[in-house]
Amino acid sequence: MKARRYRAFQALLLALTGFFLLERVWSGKILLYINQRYVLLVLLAAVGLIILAQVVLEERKKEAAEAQAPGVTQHAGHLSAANLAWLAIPLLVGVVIPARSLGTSALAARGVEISSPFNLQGTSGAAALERPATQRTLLDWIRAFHAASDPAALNGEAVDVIGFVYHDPRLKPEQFLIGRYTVACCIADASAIGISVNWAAAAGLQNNQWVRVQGKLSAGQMDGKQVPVIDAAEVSLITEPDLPYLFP
Amino acid sequence: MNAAFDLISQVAAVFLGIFIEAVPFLLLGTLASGLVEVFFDQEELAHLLPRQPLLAALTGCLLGLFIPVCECGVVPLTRRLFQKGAPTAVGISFLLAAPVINPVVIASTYAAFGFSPVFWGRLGLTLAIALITGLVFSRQADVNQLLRTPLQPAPLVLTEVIAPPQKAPVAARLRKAALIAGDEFFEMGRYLVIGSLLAALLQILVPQPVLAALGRGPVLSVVAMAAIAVLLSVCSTVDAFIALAFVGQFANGALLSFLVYGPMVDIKSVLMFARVFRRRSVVYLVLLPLLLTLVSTAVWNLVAK
Repeated sequence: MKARRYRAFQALLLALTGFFLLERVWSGKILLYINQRYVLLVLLAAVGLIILAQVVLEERKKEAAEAQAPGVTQHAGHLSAANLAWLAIPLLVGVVIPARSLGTSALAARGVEISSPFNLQGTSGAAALERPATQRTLLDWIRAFHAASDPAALNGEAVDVIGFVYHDPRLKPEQFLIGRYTVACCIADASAIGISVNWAAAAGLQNNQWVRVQGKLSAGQMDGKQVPVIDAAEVSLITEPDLPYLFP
Repeated sequence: MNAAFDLISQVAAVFLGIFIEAVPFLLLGTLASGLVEVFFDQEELAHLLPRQPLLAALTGCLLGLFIPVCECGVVPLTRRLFQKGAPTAVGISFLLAAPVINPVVIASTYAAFGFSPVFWGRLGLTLAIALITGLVFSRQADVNQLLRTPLQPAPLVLTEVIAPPQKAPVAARLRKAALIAGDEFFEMGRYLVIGSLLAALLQILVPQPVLAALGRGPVLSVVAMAAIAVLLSVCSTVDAFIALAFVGQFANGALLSFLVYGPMVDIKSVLMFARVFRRRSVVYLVLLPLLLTLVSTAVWNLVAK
């Protein structure tokens, strides 16, 4: 590929990648891919890419001026067009395939964690309980449950959480699992957490349907482990929230 | 039809997740490479870096403390160090150790595990394995024998700066560093794209619970966790938090296998290695740390019990 053309496409792709990242941050869709902790970094990278595009464009002009000199021809040689084509793939994928959250079908490959693995990390169970009960997420409840010295300590607490429905094969017919994905870094590491819900009409709920569950917490057993259980008073169908993932 | 679309959107999401997360770090690595190119000349660096193999490997192990890069950025930077005449052991030890032995990753490992055996084990085993691999490679003193393309002063830029870099004004040097970063971003980014795609596909095709179920026992578990590390291809800056998800299911040795091998080798880094190194070197770079990791962490499991 001629050096001039290579530079032009290189600048274009750098700028497009930068603007693609900016658009994802601006629209908030970035949170369907990565933990919010890294959004600032992505923003800086986007600006960096756009600056690089500018530098490459200026270089192209400079090279063009130098190439005007008689007897000078420039070829990009080792700078292959294939490199450029590969970097166009993420842009295409991002534009063509709509951003969607992982559903319960992804659980097959990931499994669902019912006994909290996150007891060591980030906010402790006690900190999770400082939040008003209505604002506590599934993760907060699971952490709090496992941080408590006595599993019955939280018995009877009023729970109001949202999540997707998952009919875990380990559950009884009048139970379902309410789950969320947690994302520590990017969704390559998404792992599902869940609390089982006692609800007489559980069988009527579809996998992957988002629900709001209000009820009371109690302690139960699953796979021989102490786990929290919600005795639901009310289960209402809701649309998937803009932020489907929890960031531990 | 719906299921197929669901699968495609899952792969797309995981692919973009890994890619977007890695872009800032790749950019940092290529910028660092560009800055090393324009601000250090060969003699200067040769004076700074020891030649004696053990000292050279040690220097390589600890260099990441001063040039913090993770596994996406470390490959272009290592090649740049070789181009600047760094001894074999410095480059190889740096390549393997830097993704863990740097301030950011040390801090995130501490945040996840505190000053526990896992924390010290991760740092210690990483240093030891990078040191040993660096020493083994140092038997080959001629770096050109390891690399795919023989070294030239700056083979990646179209136009050479006519004046030696030291004499160019700082602004011009920064421009050149940016240009190098722009070129290397595409050269290495290609492998990042392929690697993230493969990792996303494998994640969907090979379920983690299957691997985890296979890997019971002190020996098999370290193999399973090394495989999960390669499969997940997550950045070393956060893998400590991911390892937390396995506490309780796996013994410390298996966690260490994940935390030590993952940053050294995963799908995307192997592809980047293959761009820079000859096939033989890539095989050694993948297998030697793997063997050392498996043996040391399996022994850890057996002894700690």
